[in-house]
Amino acid sequence: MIIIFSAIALLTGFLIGIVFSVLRYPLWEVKKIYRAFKAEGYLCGEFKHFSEKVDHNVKYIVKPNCETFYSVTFLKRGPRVYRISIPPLCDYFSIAFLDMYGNLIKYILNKDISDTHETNILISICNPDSENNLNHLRLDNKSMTWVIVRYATGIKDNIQGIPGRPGRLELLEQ
Amino acid sequence: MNILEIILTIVMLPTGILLAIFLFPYLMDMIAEKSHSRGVTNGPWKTHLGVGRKTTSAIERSAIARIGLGANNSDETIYWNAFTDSDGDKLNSAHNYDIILTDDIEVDYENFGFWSITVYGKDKYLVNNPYKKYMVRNCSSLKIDSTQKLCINLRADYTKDEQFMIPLPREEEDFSLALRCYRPTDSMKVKTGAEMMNLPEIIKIG
Repeated sequence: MIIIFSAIALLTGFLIGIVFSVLRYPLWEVKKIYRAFKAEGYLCGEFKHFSEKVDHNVKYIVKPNCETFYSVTFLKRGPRVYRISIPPLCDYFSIAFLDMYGNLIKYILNKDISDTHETNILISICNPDSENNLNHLRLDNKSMTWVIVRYATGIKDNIQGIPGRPGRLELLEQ
Repeated sequence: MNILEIILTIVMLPTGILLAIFLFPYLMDMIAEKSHSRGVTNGPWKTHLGVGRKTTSAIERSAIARIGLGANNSDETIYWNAFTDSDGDKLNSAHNYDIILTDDIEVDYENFGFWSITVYGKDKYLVNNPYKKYMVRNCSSLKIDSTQKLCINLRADYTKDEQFMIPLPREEEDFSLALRCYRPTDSMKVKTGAEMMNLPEIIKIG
């Protein structure tokens, strides 16, 4: 009887742990990235720019892609407003705003920016006073926001791509 | 129940919970492998259109977090993976392969869309080679159709770098391919369209 009760308790605990893990696993992984980000001395709203092309020595992430450069940061919980300045770009570019479970909230894409001059966009996080006007992005996110920027590594007509980086983008809290 | 049974139950319950949390990443690896058989299949290529979406099931989101945390959602990028050739045999660097495209891959070139094919070793990392070459990427200038096919060579016995060659692991091991489609057209974003479109063939050579 002891063995049966123990086995049932162990199995019940295991199932509870599985359900709990399924619901929380993405959050744990994003928090791991956040802790590594902070451990390197970066602040919320400060971009970490991955300036080197990924190669076979990169082992911190499985299946890394080598056709885009990355910049990442985290934004604090709202209500708060940031201004992002994006240099002119004429190749693939995207900024993904994700919640702490890795779910997409919003994108800024090539169609939202200029390829001839700098673009400034206000990002308001849960700011009830924010106005929905041009160049203004509203994020309804109660937790921190994970920001991932991607830039293509090559110019448009080059098959293999050449290393290169556009001007850096800036993020300032308003 | 006597006191011993009660104590054991109290001890075993959290032990089970902790065991599950500890084993969970490994379970996710198994589920991630299984999830390749779900989602969308097109020849040897498989993808999941639920990446980055809250509407995807919690289990699938956990598996995606394990293998592709922070990936773009399918409106922005579709990630195809291949673990077998077009005949269904596992990809292995004991053989060379040709990836044949008879149709361009449907991305929105006007909006800076592009596609790339990358080789990954058994350990899911990029393959060491002297040219630091791991993928081939296309842009709008390369015309591909049934009269102008594109052939990408996967070679373990490479002796020099070539424009459309990607090195394979020198040692015999399984490998995989990732076909990333940035800014896919609307037809690729839906299951039926993704299943029907003309994706590259993977042909074993010798």
